[in-house]
Amino acid sequence: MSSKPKKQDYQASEAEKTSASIAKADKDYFNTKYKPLMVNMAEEARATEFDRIGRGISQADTMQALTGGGPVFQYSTSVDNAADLASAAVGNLLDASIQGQNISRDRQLNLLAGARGQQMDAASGLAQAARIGTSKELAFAKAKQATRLGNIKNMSRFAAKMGQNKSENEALLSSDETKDAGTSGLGGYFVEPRRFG
Amino acid sequence: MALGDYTNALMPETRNNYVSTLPEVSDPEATNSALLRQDYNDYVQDFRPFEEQLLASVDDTSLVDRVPEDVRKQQKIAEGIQSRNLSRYGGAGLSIAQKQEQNRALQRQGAIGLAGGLNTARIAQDERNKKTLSDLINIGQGLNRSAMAGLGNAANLQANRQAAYKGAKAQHHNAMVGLGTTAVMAILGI
Repeated sequence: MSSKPKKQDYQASEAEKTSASIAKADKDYFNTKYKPLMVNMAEEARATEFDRIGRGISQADTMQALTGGGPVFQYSTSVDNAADLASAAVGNLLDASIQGQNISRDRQLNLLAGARGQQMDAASGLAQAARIGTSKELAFAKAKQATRLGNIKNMSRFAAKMGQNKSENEALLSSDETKDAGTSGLGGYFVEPRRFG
Repeated sequence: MALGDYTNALMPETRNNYVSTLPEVSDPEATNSALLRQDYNDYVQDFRPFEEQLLASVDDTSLVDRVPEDVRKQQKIAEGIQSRNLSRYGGAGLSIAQKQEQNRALQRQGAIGLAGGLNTARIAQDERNKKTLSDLINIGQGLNRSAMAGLGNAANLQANRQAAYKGAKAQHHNAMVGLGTTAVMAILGI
């Protein structure tokens, strides 16, 4: 006849005990080492104003790009330079705000997913904030300034050439030997004198 | 280090036995229950306000709200730069009409910047809020799944317990009936 059930027959096996001990130790380790990291990250993600950082960078970029070379006479006399500057600054700030908000939100959502036991992505907010791109308004204002300076340079070169033509033509006309080679009147500004020798 | 040394280092007898230093979990069920409670309490304390803040952010309008102030401020800055530059060049030979046109251009650009900025900001804000919402829904779906799995598990365990209880009761009843029948038959000498 079989004996009655013994309590020791229903004890956990050594493997079960070891597994439970390891699981408890890992859990304690997680709670002391990893959980505080997540809590800190959550606080940082909540408190860091990436849009403010991005806006600071963007404002500096705008001013650096459009006024960094110091005062330029041609810009001062231009009708729309100040307007372009304001427009570029607003466009760049808006871009920075959008990107900053995206960085903040993505980071916060990532943290929340982690806290809820889901997979997290590795993303560095500050590095992203430093890579705030240039808005199309700033690129446009910069190109316009470059064109403006280029035009002024070309006009100066053109005027200098006209002056040179005129004086060389006048010199040719002043001598009987060479007067046939020179051009008089308004044409003297535009026609390049013939060279001798 | 020679390969043999590596092999020796990997031999169980030469390694520290960390597992033997771990405390024994005398009641895994109670420990599990305590840890689950602790985890939930920690979550509510550490992350719930953060989660609620994110849930509220799907109605955010900060991008749009900032535009008018940005336009006003940047116009003021540009106007300041322009007037300082004109002073540096002694008016830069501009006529009154040219100066007026500069101001008009600035005002015009301000109005265009405000309209364009508001439109861009509205679109970007809407896009951002939708993305936040969809990410939150994904997180919520994961949460819902694990909650339903936890409840389903608890319900299964309870159903199994109830079935076992009913089975035991029926078994006990049958045993009692059998015992009674045997006793009656013995008394009657059948």
